[in-house]
Amino acid sequence: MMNISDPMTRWAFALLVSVVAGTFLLIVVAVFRRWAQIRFLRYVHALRSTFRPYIARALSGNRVAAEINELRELPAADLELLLDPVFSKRKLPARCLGALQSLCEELGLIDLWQNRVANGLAAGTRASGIDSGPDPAALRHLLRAKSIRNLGTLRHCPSWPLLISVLDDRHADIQLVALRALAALGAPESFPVLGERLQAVVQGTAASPPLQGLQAAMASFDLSNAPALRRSLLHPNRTVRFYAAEILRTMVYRHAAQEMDFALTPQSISPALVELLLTKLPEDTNSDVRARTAEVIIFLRDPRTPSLLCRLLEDSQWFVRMRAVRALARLGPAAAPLHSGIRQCAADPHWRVREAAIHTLLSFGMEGVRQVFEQFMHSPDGAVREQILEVMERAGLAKALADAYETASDGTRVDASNGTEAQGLPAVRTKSGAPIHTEFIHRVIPDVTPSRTHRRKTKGATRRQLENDGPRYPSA
Amino acid sequence: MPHLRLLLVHWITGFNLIVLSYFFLGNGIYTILMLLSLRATWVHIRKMAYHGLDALRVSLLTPPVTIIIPAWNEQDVIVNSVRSALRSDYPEFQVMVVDDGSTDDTVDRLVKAFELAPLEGAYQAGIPTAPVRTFYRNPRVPNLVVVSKVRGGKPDALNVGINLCRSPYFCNLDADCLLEHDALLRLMEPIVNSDEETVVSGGILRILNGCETEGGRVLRVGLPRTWLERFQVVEYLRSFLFGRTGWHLLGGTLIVSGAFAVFHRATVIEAGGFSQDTVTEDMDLIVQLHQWAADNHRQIRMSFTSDPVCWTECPSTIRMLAHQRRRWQLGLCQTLWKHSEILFGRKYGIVGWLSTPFHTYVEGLGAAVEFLGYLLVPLAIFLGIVPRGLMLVFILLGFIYGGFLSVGAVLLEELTYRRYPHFKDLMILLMFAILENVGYRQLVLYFRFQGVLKFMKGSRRWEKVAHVGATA
Repeated sequence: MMNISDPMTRWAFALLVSVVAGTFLLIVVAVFRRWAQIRFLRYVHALRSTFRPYIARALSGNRVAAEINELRELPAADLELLLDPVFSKRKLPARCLGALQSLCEELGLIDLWQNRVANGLAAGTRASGIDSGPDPAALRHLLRAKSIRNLGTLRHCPSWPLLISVLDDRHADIQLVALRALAALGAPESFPVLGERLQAVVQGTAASPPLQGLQAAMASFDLSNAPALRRSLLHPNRTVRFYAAEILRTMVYRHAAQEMDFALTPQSISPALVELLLTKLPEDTNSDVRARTAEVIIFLRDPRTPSLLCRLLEDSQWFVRMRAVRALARLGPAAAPLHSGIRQCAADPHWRVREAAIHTLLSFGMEGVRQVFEQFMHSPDGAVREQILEVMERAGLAKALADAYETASDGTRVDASNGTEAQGLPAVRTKSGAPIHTEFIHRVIPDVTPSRTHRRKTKGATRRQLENDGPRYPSA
Repeated sequence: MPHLRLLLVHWITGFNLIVLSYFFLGNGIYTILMLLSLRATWVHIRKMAYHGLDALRVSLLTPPVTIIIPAWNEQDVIVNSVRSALRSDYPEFQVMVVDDGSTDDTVDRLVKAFELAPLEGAYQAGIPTAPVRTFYRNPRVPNLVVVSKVRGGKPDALNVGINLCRSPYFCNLDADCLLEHDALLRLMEPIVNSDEETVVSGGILRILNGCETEGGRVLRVGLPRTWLERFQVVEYLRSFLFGRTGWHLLGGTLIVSGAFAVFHRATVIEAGGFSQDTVTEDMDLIVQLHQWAADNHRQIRMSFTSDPVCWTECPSTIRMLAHQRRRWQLGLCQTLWKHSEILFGRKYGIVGWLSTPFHTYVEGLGAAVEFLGYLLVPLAIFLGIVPRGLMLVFILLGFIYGGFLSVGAVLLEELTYRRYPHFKDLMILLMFAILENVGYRQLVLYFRFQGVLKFMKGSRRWEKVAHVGATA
């Protein structure tokens, strides 16, 4: 039936046999892997059930010398297996940290990790003899990454120069882990070095580490390190200034979220930086920097702040105005002198500024709500009214708005109706006195076509503009 | 008569050559994808040990995300789906259910489960959509909003979600899906940690049938009981673990599951949003984004990672499977046809020169080639046009090579995620990986062929897959 002497058939048959053999091999590997994994897990389970109480006692401060000696005799790989659940925890309690540091020191793990990081050698392999994967040397950078992570989790501050040197590693993920470890360490000496790196990476004189990771790491440092950002904030490169401003903003906001009535003082961020924030940065040629500055200076209890914010509310760039008006919500009643500026923003040509302004006004309580109502009734711009209605809906205040609108129908309403009629909007009159919520919306909203067109135009702003709302990409 | 026979011989010989090229091209590329994915997934899973998700979780730089759940007549599954989304471990997110004019109790069940109150709201259609009716909110669940709209189809519902969302990124989630608690965080990781503009990030879909669930949470992972569902488990592993991972590594991502993916909102708006032109709006958008980026000289990145997991129901009956596969095939053909200028387009790079031709020839036309091959190859043997032995070896090779690839996918799962915990599960998966090519593959092929026919007829009908309630 089959002519095997035909070269073509022979060739096809050989292919068939190799595919069958390949399939069989894959099946064997899969089964073997599962079997090896089960063995490995059993081994880890046995190891942990024997030694976990030792670790727990050592971490709670009740260390027993005999137990530590017993642990010391374990191979480094087993020790890492034992401690891995501790290092994988989201956050170690502060009381454990000291005990863990001294335990790792005693067991020689810190030296091991530092050696691995420094030499890039797989100093500790799985000495237990359990094969659970390929030779770790083949995945050396993964071992190094884990060592770096552990040094970071341990807050081992003396390791910071070593971690800085790792930022030039050829593996991008090693660089990222090192950045995270540096952020966890929070060593003040490392912050200016990272600042210099930031400048170099942005200017293209250094290729590593990744910019996003660097930014995130620097933003994780304590606010007391902020004065070291001054050089970057004054840098001639506008993108460097943007990243520095963004880092400063993130640091400030993190602190603000943790502290009630948080305020920036010359003592906390240095008088020089305060001066910079109040003089140079609000005038920066990079609008992204101005936008971030608005969000930072709101925390400065300085008499110059309101006037600066007032200026930023009138900035030529919509996202600067938006961020400034958003930031003002933090001032609360203290923002009273700026109410007219905020109301102006509520009638801004850009819908996102309007939205932010209305939110800010609403955050001021009853006084703010009253101002929003007034704006709604007196604004001749359909887009503004529409935006207010939308925000009020979300805040659950639309019914109150509708009532206020109707109540004022014979008085202040006159101006508004004149304006709206001029735009082709029908005046809303209550005939029965019954709630008119739905009717009200349906009568006001569908007729604001001109403003919709306008708004769609602004919505269709370029992506770069839209991006400015997010922290990721500078417009520079 | 001799002339007719000669013509037939020529025709069948020509067709056999097409079948052979389909076999070698398809399986060759699949093998390359498998080898690439094997290495990449292996390294990725080891990186999980220091992935820094915690840093991402606490970072103020992690952007907010809106999870958009389009729903049409999903009363049985919607509440648990929303619960699972609300349970996401992510610093700042909002869940937005867009009810696409359901005629069942979808909205009522949501209102009851989350004590929502209706609000009349203003709506601005940045991307044109069908009108929105009502918004539902509960101040005690501030990050949930339900939007009821006039029926306009899934793409329309997604566009409503895009118009309403305020975050720079949004995540599509199908109403029959359950998110793992850290899935969103894992999905955003490649976006946040990348210096390139990552506009799409896709994750893996796993089959929920057979798993034990409670209140939108998967308690125990298990294999389904029926053969049809088990075959689909293997198929999903193959498709996601090495198909999508491989294409991502080559930079030729053409499909990201619309059931679970994150998109950059501003980019999607600029590219025109989800289109109603095809029945697979997800693939259509991806291709549209490639086209938009090339036309506008933009460098964008699309990421796929296989560790963010979303559990979804698979069809449990042949009828439902037929609906699903016909629609997928129809959508694939429609999308490739719609964006046919990408094919061998110089400015589209890998997408134009490798990914699109592969999808057109192997995935699109391949369904017809393979289906006709099952009819014409025996005819060729019968007529004595090709050597019987050789052809039999090739047919056998076709079956076994399919098994080889499926076993490769199971091995990949075994080397990396190992979600099915029991040894028995592994053996079942291996068995179904081999058996998949005898019977199931031909069944699916038949449905795919029907999809191609529907495309040729110009059909645009969306065939809905009813849920058995594994999510419920």
